Amino acid sequence: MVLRLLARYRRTVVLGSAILLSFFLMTMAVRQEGHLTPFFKRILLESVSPFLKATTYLRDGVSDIWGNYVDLRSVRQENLALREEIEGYQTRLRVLEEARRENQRLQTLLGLRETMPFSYVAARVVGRDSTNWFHSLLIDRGSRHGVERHGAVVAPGGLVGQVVEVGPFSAQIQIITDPVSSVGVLLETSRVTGLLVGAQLGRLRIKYLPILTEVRVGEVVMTSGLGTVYPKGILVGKVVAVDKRIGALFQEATVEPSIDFSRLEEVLVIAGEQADLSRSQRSGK
Amino acid sequence: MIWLAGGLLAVVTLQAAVTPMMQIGGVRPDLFFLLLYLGSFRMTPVQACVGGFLLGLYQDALSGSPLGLNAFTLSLLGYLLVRVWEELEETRLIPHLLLIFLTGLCSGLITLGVLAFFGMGMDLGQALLWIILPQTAYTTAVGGILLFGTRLGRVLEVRL
Repeated sequence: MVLRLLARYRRTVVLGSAILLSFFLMTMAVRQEGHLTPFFKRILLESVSPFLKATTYLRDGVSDIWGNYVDLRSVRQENLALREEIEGYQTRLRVLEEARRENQRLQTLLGLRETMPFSYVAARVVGRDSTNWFHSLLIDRGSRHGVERHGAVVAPGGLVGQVVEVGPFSAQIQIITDPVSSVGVLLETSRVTGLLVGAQLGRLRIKYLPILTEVRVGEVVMTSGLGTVYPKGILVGKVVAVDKRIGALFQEATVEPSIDFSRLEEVLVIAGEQADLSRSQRSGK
Repeated sequence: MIWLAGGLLAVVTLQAAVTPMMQIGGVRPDLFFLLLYLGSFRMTPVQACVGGFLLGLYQDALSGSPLGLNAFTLSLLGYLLVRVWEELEETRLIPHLLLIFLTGLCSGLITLGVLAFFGMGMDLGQALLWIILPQTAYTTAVGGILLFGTRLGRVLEVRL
């Protein structure tokens, strides 16, 4: 009888089940209860991360080949007689230039490591958020490499965000421009603290700035160290506009991030001491 | 459903690793939605609902959204799209583009509604202006190119 009913209303049952299951998963995810949704997300993420890594490497390879092709075309037009010689030199030059750039990036990362006394895990960005609603990155390092949930993520230009999901070989980073991201920040000159949240067009807003404080355009914004995720003193960006409304208890400021997140290739995930500190503070020890 | 699995894998890698290079003003086309739209031609409502659910789950896993958000939207849209196909046998390009645009708009509004339900809502005007309309327009344009390419391929196949 039940089976006959199920068969008769199969469409409705499947649609209803999908909707109910989606709502159940969303409720669990939003309330951050249990390990079910992080577990599912981890499985889904890990099942595609090898393909993402392969695609990223392939894309970079194709991009290099395409770049070489375009350059070779222009060289041919300039001087056909010297083509082979120039081609050889240019290929070598490109390889060296790429090595120099990589060296420069790694040196900057190393410099950053030396200025901030934490242990880091260097990771490569292999994917970006699949929707336009949220802002996140996928990296090619996971728990097997020492990446932990809620680890702060930085780049040479400043703060990137925090780790929100970790699989064995990959992790997901919530960028500070994400609409649900919040970071405790400090304004360098006026020394007031506020809460930095994501805003439209990749900009950021600082909320809860005291109304009586003089906040200036151009002022540098850095992490305040309040909270359990981000260490103090990491560069976030600079104030580009101040919104002071009459009668309001607080003023707000718009911040331009110091990093162009769309061009990020490598990041550092803070592990070790800061992560341990965060964990013990969360567990109330 | 094997083609759906292959399409899913292709879309996952394209959406996460390749579409960021195609972004205009920070907006990218929604390939998950396009795969569901194009796939719904050859699916039953139940298959489209399950397929949409799986596509949405992967989309959620690759984004910062709570797991289930896009699964909800795409399973509902998959089901409704096939019901529309059952009523409407349309082969011309323009009605398809209109339908992609309208369902894309619905997808955005449903997502916004669900986000609001879970306390993560945004201002409707801002969301429409900066996310929903640009994303829908871009997705429609890419969908148009894909549909046109498919039609052109068929015409050439017949002529040759």
